[in-house]
Amino acid sequence: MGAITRLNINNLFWLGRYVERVFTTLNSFFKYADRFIEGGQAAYEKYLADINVPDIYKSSEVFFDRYVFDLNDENSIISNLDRALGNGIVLRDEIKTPSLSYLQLAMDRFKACKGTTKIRYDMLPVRDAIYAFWGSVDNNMTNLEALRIIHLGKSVERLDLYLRLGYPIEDIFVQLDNLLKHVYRRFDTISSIINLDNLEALKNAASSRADLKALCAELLDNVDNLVEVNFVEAVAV
Amino acid sequence: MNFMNTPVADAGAINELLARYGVKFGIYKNGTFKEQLFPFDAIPRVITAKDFSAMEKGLVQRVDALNLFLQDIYADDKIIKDGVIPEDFVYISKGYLAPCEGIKPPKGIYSHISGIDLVQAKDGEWYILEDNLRIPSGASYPLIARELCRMASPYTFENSHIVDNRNYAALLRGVMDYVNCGGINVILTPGRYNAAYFEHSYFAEKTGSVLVQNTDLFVEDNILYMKDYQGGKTRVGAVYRRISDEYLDPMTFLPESLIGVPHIMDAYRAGNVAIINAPGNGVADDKGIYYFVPKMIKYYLGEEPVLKNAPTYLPFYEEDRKYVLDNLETLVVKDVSEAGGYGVVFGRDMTKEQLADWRKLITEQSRRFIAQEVIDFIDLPITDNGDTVMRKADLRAFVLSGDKTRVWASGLTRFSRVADSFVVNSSQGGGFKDTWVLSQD
Repeated sequence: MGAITRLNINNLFWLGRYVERVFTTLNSFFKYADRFIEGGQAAYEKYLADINVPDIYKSSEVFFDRYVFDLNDENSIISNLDRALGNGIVLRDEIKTPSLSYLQLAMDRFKACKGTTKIRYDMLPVRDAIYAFWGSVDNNMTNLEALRIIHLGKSVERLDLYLRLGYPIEDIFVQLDNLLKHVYRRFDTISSIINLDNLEALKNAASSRADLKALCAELLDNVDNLVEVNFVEAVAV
Repeated sequence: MNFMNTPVADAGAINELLARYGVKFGIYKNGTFKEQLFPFDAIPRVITAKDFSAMEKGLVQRVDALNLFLQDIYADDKIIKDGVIPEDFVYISKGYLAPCEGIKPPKGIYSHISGIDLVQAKDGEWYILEDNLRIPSGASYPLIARELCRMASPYTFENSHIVDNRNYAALLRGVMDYVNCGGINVILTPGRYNAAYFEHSYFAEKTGSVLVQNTDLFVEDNILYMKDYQGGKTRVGAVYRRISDEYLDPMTFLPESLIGVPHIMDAYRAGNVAIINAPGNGVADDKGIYYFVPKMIKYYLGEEPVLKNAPTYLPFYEEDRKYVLDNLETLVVKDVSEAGGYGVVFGRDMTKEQLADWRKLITEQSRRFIAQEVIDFIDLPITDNGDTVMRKADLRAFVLSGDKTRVWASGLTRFSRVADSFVVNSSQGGGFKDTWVLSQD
């Protein structure tokens, strides 16, 4: 296992988060775009509220363009892809050139889609590139600790977004299990911070969406604290 | 087969791949950092096996002599005592670093990676334009370009007898391992916004080194360590540093440096870490010292130089100064402290007033400049908007010194994108092409 520098650790975690944020918000946006086909005024306001993005768009048309393609809009999907790419560029030696090339490819294809009238179709190569990125890091990375940290970021982001975007309980359970698995692997001292037995029991007992959201919120808060202590403060030293 | 005008594949496909693989360099314009693609031309430069063989001999000879010069200058100064090089040219050079006096680098190697700039005159003769012994950059571009060309146009390489140049990272790793004093290899970058960041990260990946910034490193008991995020430390045995000498160690050089590693020079002085390239090499690639390299070759190796310098004059010497002032209109003048194509002026481009100003400046600051005859070097074909046009081009050859001195069978061919311009530097808009060395003529 190679040593990971303190500067890289934060980049690894956020690389995982941003790539996942692009992927899941893009999928979610596609659902919105699908509802838009029949001309109905899709409730983009609710979508924004769910993911905690302020409504600066004021109309579906502006939302459709800026939220997806505007690099100057810090909440847009493309600006999250830009951040993913920025983290990837400083991690070339860890994630390897082919993995980075898939992020660049995703960005190039993404930009080429601006102005499209068939966004779900034209954006397929973007999703393909992101799938390829994940395949590439799994195949090419030799530093397994670094790989786990990227996956931890991905898992945290996915669970967070699934909760916000109202994904089915079954999907959230799957993501919760995934996150626990990554947390177990990453943090040896987890049991001293989170009572996992209690968490498992709570998970099994969670019968309503509200219970589950509360449970996941507790876990995400605890992971955030762990990340803050282990990654962010480490970098700040 | 005539390769000279044969593109590998359409340049568009290769440039698309270069963009996809993030092959960029950074540039600051008006205080803003921008990354841009290094324009690639798909018509390769071809060097015959015979030419390369002679060039290889000359480059090994030159770099060996330069390494001996550095060893001498920071120890015994024999070449000065014997009157071969006046001490004025050594000790007032910006590249001479007094704190390096008496330090013997691991395995006695100072210039591990030497970038030697050459041009080929129209009569076929190769001339050395410049030695770069500090942090010569650029090898990553032809390295990845070859990989992408082979991807885009595999059949081109099938029967062309082109030496495979994709061993550069292995050669570099070999050098790092050879001088390593125990511990891991790291590449020290000033960070994401350095012009050559692509190269730093690419070589880290390809050599299996850890890419670090100064805050990842610290010195304890004269040993250099890398700290990891969990508070652990790992000993570092070799640092391929990509920051300039003056910023390397704030305790020894510029105290205001925020990108250096405090006390790294102590670890180096104690023989506990190799620094690649050694600090203080600037004294040997100073444009003023360049004039003396053929003399060094004779002095240290007892051999005649295989490769020629461009005819050079030192205004420091009265006789040369007179010649320069009398013939300024036909010469190129270079400021010895500048690099990257800056500080280079051509007499033929000057007005009468400018010529007068320059004559005054050269007279007043004679040590600051060298003057050279303008070599009418060959133009190479490049593709420009679908047309093939001829442009000036040079070649940076890379010479690696480890257990022995080796010349990489490739190099960075840079060309001007402006007709009749001799300035090929990427920072000034130049492009690059692949450099093919043939394995048989």
